[in-house]
Amino acid sequence: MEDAKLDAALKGEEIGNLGLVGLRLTLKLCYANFIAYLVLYVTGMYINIYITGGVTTIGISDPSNMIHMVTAILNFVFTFIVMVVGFLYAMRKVAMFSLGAVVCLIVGTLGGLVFLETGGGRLSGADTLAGGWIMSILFMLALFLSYYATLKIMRAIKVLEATNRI
Amino acid sequence: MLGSLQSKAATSTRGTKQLLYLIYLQAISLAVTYVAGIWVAITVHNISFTLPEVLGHGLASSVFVLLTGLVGFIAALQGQRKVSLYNFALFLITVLTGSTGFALLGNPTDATQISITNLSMMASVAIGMPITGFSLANVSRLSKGMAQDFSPVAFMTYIALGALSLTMIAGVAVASTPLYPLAVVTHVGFAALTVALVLGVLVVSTLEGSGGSASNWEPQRVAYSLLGLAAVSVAGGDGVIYLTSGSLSYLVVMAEAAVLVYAFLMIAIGAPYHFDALAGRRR
Repeated sequence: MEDAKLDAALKGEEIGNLGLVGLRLTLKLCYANFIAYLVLYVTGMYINIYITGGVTTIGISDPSNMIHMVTAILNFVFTFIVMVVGFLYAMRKVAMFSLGAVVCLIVGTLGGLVFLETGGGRLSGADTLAGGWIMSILFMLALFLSYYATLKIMRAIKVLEATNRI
Repeated sequence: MLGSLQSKAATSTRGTKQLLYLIYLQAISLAVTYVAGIWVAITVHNISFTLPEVLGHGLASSVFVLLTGLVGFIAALQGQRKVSLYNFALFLITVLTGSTGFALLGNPTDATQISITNLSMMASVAIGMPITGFSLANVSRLSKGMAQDFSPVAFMTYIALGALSLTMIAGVAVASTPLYPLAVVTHVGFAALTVALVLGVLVVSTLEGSGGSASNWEPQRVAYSLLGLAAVSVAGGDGVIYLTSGSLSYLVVMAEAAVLVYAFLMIAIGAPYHFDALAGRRR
């Protein structure tokens, strides 16, 4: 009887079937992902202001670009893992928000490749600038989508804790 | 209560199977990355990330990194500590060694950079082989509700995978002029060790069934270790032909035969077509 009441109260809450321990682990991964987003933003801004801000172009093997790209790999992998966890463990909103972030990161990365391939500097032409803008805008969108996915995981943890379900 | 427990058990089994499929994909992407990498190293002389060969290798390696991270995390969620730790270590190594590829794309004619990139990338492939083998064997047995296999044959197979990996690393070092003499000796030495170990797996697997009790005999293990032995012999033969003829195409065939050895050894340790003779007899 108690269980039935609880189930009725939880209707509409997306708690999935991962369990509290798994959700907490996924939340930690989300936090690690935000650190990756932060490093990506800082290195991107550094490159934007100090390297490609004037007439200097950036190459693929530039140390700051390499740090930026390695962080982008980590960021993509973390976001992709959260998406798969959402799909596998019945958390539809987490999966869909993360899927949106993954798509944004893929298209953003293609923008970054266009930026590098067409010159790698602000004065390298319209295609380079377009690549840069696509990369920046979609990065921000991916950050917001990952943030919403994280909120959904936090909500599921709160619900499970409140109802003492493990 | 019982229904809830049964539901949890079913979810757990389904989760293990999903993890198993992910490891299959991871192993396939590792093999594709390796063969595509060898192809790039042999056929491309002025490397650039817009070349189709380089894009193919980059795509395969990205899928491998992605799947390694995913396998590590899903294994952690399912409480498989060893599989998770090994895959996370492999993930970090692969990301770091993959970044040497960016350095190579920036300095495509630098001989030192070429050697560093080739050796580091091959090291991550080589570390990946025993780790995917271990993960696959472990999770495969778990999905069938069987205990972990610590038999001498399984142990010998893991060592054979390790020796195969070291053979590959030494093989890449052969291309570097300063390392040439040491690399050749090491490559041939580890290749011989791999052949010896695969032969050992075959002999021990066959002898397991020769005693009074045939309960441990697994035809699958005998068959696939025999195929592994054939593949490693073909790879060795290609190496010898390359030395005498100088034709680079034999190197590509050698790499492909090495991938077959890797695949046959993995199947021999219990995945994916495990034949449980004891269970069959009980039925």
